[in-house]
Amino acid sequence: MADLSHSRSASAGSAANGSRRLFHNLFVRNFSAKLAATPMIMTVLIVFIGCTAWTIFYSFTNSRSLPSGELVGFDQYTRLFSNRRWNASVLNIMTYGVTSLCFTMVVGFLLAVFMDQKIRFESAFRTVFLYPFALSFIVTGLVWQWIMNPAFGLQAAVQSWGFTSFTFDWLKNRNMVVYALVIAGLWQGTGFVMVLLLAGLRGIDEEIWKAARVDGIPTWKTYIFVVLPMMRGVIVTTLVIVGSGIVRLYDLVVAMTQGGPGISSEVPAKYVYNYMFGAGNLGQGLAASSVMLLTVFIILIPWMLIEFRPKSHS
Amino acid sequence: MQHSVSIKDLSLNFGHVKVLQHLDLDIGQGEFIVLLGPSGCGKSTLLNCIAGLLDVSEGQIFIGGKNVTWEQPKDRGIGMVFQSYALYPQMSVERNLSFGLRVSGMKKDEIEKRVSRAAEILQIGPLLQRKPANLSGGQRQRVAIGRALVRDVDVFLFDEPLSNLDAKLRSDLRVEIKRLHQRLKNTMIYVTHDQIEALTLADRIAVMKGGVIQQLDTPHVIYNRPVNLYVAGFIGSPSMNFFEGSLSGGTEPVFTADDGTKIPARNYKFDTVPDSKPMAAVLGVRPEHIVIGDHAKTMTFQAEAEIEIVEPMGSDTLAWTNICGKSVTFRCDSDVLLEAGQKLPVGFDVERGSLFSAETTNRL
Amino acid sequence: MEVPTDWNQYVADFPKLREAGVIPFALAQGWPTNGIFGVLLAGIGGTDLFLAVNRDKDVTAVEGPDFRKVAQAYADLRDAVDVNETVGQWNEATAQLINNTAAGNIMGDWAQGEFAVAGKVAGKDYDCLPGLGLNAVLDTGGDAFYFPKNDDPAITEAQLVLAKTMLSPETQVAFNLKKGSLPVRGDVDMSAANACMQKGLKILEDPNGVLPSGEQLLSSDTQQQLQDLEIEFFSDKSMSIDDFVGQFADIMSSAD
Repeated sequence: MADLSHSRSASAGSAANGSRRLFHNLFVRNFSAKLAATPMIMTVLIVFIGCTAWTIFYSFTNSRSLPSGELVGFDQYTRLFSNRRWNASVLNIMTYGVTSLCFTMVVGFLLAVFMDQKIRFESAFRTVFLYPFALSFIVTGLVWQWIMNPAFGLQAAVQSWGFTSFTFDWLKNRNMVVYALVIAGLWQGTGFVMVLLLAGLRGIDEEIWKAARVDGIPTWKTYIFVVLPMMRGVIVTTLVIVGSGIVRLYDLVVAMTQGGPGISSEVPAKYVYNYMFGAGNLGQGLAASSVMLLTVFIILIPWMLIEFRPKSHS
Repeated sequence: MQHSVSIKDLSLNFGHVKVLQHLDLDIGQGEFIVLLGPSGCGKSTLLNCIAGLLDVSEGQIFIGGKNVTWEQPKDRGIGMVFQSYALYPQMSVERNLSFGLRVSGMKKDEIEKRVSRAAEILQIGPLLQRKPANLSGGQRQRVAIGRALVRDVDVFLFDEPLSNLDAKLRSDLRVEIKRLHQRLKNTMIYVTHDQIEALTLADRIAVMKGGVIQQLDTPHVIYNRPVNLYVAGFIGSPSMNFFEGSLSGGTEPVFTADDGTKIPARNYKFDTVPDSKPMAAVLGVRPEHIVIGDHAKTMTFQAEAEIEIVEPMGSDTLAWTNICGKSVTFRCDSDVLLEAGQKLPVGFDVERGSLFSAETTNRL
Repeated sequence: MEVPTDWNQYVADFPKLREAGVIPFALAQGWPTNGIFGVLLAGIGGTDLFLAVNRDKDVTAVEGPDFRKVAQAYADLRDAVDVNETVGQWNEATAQLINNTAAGNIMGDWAQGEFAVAGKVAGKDYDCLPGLGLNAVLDTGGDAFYFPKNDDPAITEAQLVLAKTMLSPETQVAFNLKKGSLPVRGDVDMSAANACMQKGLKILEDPNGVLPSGEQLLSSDTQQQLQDLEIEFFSDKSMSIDDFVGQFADIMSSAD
């Protein structure tokens, strides 16, 4: 602090001195640490920031199969938001996202709590719940496509047992197909959420539980008011993992519904893929992916502002 | 008089492992009991049983005359303080103190009254709005004690409450706990592996080993008249010097050390006077009961010894020497200047020491 | 029941087929659904409309009455199809035909390969209506083979041998008899071909019988948009024909 105010009040003569110090601080100090971090810094600069900038720039061009530098303003975006398939995709991913996020977190947490009750055969249960996560979304999608197929799957089976009025045709139902995706997604991902949250639960000091029991706090209140707040870090990690899985949802849709019936289970990532590679319209695909990126930022920035705001000690 | 806490024939098994075996313990109103022993001796387990955090396999627990063996912890009239403080990290100190009371549905002004009283007693008033993360270890442990305090209970349970603190804080807080006990006059049951804490705090110490209470008595008796070799060796630092040998009883009891040295034990207060038939025995003498110089000449045992190592401790000095073919330590005033290699007369009185049967390890 | 001679007869038979417990029209999701629209456009709309729309990107043709008729036919088919009977892949739809659970389907000539494998004979066990029996045209396309250029003369020679073999009359005959499709060269003897292939070969003899496919006329970007629209329209019974035509015209106005 004293240093800073000194250089502020110093005359122009010490400006050169200041820039030398800046150089020193930037490059010479902790040189080996900075050298070691260079590959990662370059990766971030080139792969993440560089490619993002490239994507955004070319979303303002009329690039088709190959990138072109001809700028067309917001044309790609105008077309994007007047496209019925894109708008349906956005709506679908929102429905899927909110439902899937709520259910994976709640069900995953309840399963973790269940596993934390010192039950017998815990590792067997854990394996069973986690097993679907070892399968790709493609396999998951194909399996559930058969289970939910009204002609062969659950509906046909239950009807053949005599319950002829039973219907479960979500895959063919334009209004319910997104929830069919949610079910398959839950089946695949909940075990993983459970394992993450279970690790968080196990990290809670046992004496906290004892203290709560002595205080006479009911178990469910201990979970909600004491344990959950203590698991904040694990929960944020889980939310980020689940959230990124939702945003990039693609393979499950391709395997399970191909976006159908009609366009009623289309998702943004599939739109990006189809227009970039299938339709050879790079500009349109990049505009769509830029919008996806923007959405992620809109969700993340308020959270980051809260999380990383300078902490004040009162 | 009614006992504050009474434990009758308590056993606890984890599968085939017997952690506590047929344990009896009566604790008086306002008494400060310390459960002392090495890790794995069952002292914390016993405390958890009293708190109701572990279900017992056999036996009964009474608190305030009420059979609480199968009561929930909250209904036992106890407060508990843990080694890791176990504060709720997302809540302010004030909320940590009041959370249990709020959940129980207590009236607001009563909660406020209790919290401010606890804050006043523990001098944590200025910390009430802070989160535990912004407190020092000592402050956290005070809050943890406060959480037990607001419950307004008769019995406080402490599970190694000072073990996570550094030495300086530990002795400060030790005094505070003693002061607290003197002010509140609650029954306190305190688990520790630290004998200094036990000796300084306790009205009575229960020395435990293998799930069994070896000896339950005042610190003075525990220190001076240990009931068996285990207690004798466990209490005291540096530990008691032991001489193996044999004891012939009768009217003129004599202890003969393994190297043949005969030590008369005429004035020793035997619990049970052994008969004249010689028996294998162990003589234990505390380092501070070995005296040197002229003073040694009045002792029932006297010898000339050569100093091997000298350890000045500041307040006193420890020295290593060899008596009766055994390496022994003794303690003397720090003003006495000792040197390695120095020869001087040493001596002790057998009646200040302890005699144990080598066979049963029990005090004779 | 008689085998219909054109699309209109076939559609008129739908209720009767339903009564008989047969799925009138076997449908696979995805591209087969858009393919139908192209076939209807050529068959019902005729060659001129097909070219006006696909080649000339003529928005007025899209908004005209003939196109509307095609859209209406597409909507009628949509309303006749039970969504629970649709299948995932084209060969499953063909299987419905082979198993006699469905009456008919719109598919390329390669479907005949499936019939052949199942031991079915064209003209006896099944039949074809090229151009829906209304407008005898074929929309053609084929697969292309590209050989990478290289410096090794032995490989270049092998490439030439492969190309020669694939295009030799013997290979063409043998391959197309198996696949059920038409040869890429007109100078081979296809007398061994089945009844369906004979119909196709006859159309091929007429230079006006061959239509360039939509894939050749429209950019893949435009095709993708049309595909999205057609699939949406076909799945959503509440989407009106006006809406469909309007959207179609919109896409064609900026088509390339």
